[in-house]
Amino acid sequence: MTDLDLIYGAGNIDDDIVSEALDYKPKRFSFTPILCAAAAAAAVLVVTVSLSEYLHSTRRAPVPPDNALSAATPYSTDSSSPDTSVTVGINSEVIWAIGKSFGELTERYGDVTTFGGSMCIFEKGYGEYVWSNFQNDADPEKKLENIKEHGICTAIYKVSAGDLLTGDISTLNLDNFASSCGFNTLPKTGEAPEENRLIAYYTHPDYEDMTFIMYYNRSGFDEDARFSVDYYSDKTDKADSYPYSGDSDAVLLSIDASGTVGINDEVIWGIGKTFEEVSERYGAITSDNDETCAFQNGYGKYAWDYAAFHYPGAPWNGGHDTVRNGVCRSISGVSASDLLIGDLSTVTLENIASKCGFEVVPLNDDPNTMYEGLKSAYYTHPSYNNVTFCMLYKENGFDKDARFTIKDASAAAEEKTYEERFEGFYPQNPTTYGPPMSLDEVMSMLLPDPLRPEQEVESFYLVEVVRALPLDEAVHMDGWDFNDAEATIYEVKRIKDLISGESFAEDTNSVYVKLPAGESVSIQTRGDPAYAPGEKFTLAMSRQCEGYDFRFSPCDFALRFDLPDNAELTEDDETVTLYYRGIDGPRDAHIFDFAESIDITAVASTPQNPVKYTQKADMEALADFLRRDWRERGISVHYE
Amino acid sequence: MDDASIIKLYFERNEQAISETAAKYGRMCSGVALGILRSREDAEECVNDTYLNVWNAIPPKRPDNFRAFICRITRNLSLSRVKYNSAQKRSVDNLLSLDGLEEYLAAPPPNVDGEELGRAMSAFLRTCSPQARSVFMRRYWFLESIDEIAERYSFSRSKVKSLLFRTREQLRKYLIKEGIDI
Repeated sequence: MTDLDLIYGAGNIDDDIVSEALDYKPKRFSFTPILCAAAAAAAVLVVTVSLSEYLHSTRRAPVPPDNALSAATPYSTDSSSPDTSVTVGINSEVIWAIGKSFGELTERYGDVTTFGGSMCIFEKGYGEYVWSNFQNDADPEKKLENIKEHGICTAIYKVSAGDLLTGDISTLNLDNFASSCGFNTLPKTGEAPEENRLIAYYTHPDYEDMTFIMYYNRSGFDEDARFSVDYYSDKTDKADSYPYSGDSDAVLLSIDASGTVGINDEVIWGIGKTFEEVSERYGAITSDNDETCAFQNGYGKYAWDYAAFHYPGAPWNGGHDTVRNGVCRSISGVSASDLLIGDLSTVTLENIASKCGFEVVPLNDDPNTMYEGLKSAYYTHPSYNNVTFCMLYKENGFDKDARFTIKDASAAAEEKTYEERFEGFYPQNPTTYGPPMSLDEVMSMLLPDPLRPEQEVESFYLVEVVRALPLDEAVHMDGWDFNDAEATIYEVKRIKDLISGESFAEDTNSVYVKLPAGESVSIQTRGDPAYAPGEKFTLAMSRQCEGYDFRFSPCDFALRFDLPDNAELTEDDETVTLYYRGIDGPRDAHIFDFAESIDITAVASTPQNPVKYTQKADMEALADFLRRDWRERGISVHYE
Repeated sequence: MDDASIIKLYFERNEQAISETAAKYGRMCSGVALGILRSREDAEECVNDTYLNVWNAIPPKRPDNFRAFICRITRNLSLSRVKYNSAQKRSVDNLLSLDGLEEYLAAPPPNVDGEELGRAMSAFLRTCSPQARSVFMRRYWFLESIDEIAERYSFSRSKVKSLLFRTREQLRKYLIKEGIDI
């Protein structure tokens, strides 16, 4: 199906759909991507202005009363400027709004026609007005109320050249623009590929604390150029006072210029919502990878607790029933232009925190953790206590390609246990058993396989679970294969090498290991309950291989003994007893002669799907057995 | 004047119908024609031809949706004009900017009944969100470029592309399900 087919077919599309397309105007939740893009398109400029120039350009705004004029022109209006080259002025009526309250703007520019994020458009205004100094609120209505009460205008985006400049702008070109308007050109340029425009930055001697950004067509300056006026843009560290306080209102002294780039509430909205709520708002699922799925009108990949239950007798490649439970825990792959509202061309890695109001979360170990060649940075935001932001950006810094993962950081989410996470799935998850395997079959899986060198055994370890990686994190690891979704990657600490008898020091042995049994974390509720942080078990582990961020656990399920500290088992304190556990494996085969047969049902991480233990053995006996057995079979250990 | 009154004028063969149509929908027609033709001169001619075609079509036709009816005539006339220009090797530069439109017009139509395809596309589009539907229509009915759609709706370019991609993919699956092979 080509575009040409679609053009052909479109000719016969029903009239009402044509009509709708003619009338359609995007919904503006709260400056969602609509105004994000609009804001990104903003640009600015300022010029000295005289009172006569001010009066010259009141094309849309009413001429203010006399007593307002003095307040409306807080800038230098020195008409005796010796610079005769300045032929084009600035419409102070446009600039007037900077530093003003919401009430002052409504009085002058009429009602708000559009509002979202921290910006709004007035009936008779000149562009999109950006607010700061207000208390943020996820509820757009409350936020607007806060802006009405406390907001101070800190920037104006998308001001047309005709509105901002006074005089004959037809004589302007890129070469004479700065001199004709009295600008100083900053040694900085940019590009707005989405608009196919170039960006130029200016300051003006009469407006020291403002940056003026002009977005213009590649062919040069023309009437189509647009501007934004940004108070303290790129100078946020200096913004401890507001110089243009001619109106005497003390509130002007507390402008928070860091608010120049806002957070799009609409993107955050999904966090904490059920699958049904999100799908109702964002439409059909467009991609579905176990725990995460993307929606037609969504902003990234949304993650819930997920399970695909297998019905007895159904084939493994079918007969699954997908259930998403609980509330959305994270949204990954969110574009910067969707999440951030404002002129992103002014955002850098260095100033993103101050411009967006983020608080940087320091990284403990590696501040430059790389994901697919990207670096990561973590933030919180005082107005969004329930989430954390992880930004993935290119090595050379922030740009429009930066992507964010927004995670639920609410207390409830943090404290949620595995049991709580999977509570909604019960009791649909009966433990299943596979056919028994012989010891020979089990051990043959550990023999060196030239076709799978990455699974060459390093040793047999007792490990402690640090955490299970959510799928949206696991998929970013080198070596992860989307076609091999039947695995969970755990971060584990090696406690002891049971072959060599060596114990590991704390904090020096954390590794990632991919367990082939159990599919995703949540699907393990079906038959092999996921390990919770702190739980200990044994496994054969492969060496770290080039190209893999994680290790493998060959014949994992067949050699899995638990040390169930937290399980409801009685343990002899004097000996370390391990309990044999598996999935679809030789659970009932009692394959280890040296081990004692038992029949214990234990509550592990998922109470409604208890683990069954069929054998138990002293850890040392198990180690002795494996050392001897592996030697006889030619199973070698290969340390780094 | 409302649409019903304008249509009434057409039925009365009152030439005021054309001036009323031009007053109410002239700008819209110009936008549609200019979006396809990229030439003010050609667009103006197409819009004038639109009025003539409407005059000839009503009566006997009594369109339920007068605005869409006019729009469709303008689109068809504009596409015909592109084809004509292409054949005459006129305005080649303009045509080259139309994302292969000249190729479409030069090639034989797809081997599928246009009305059937249109019906299926309509049915499919009704299942989409208004946003996705409108972006799709802007691209394939009004033949606007990605940049123009992004500008119109203040979307990022990537958002427009992404919406179109998803909608096309879903449409492809839908058409296969409906047994339409293109």
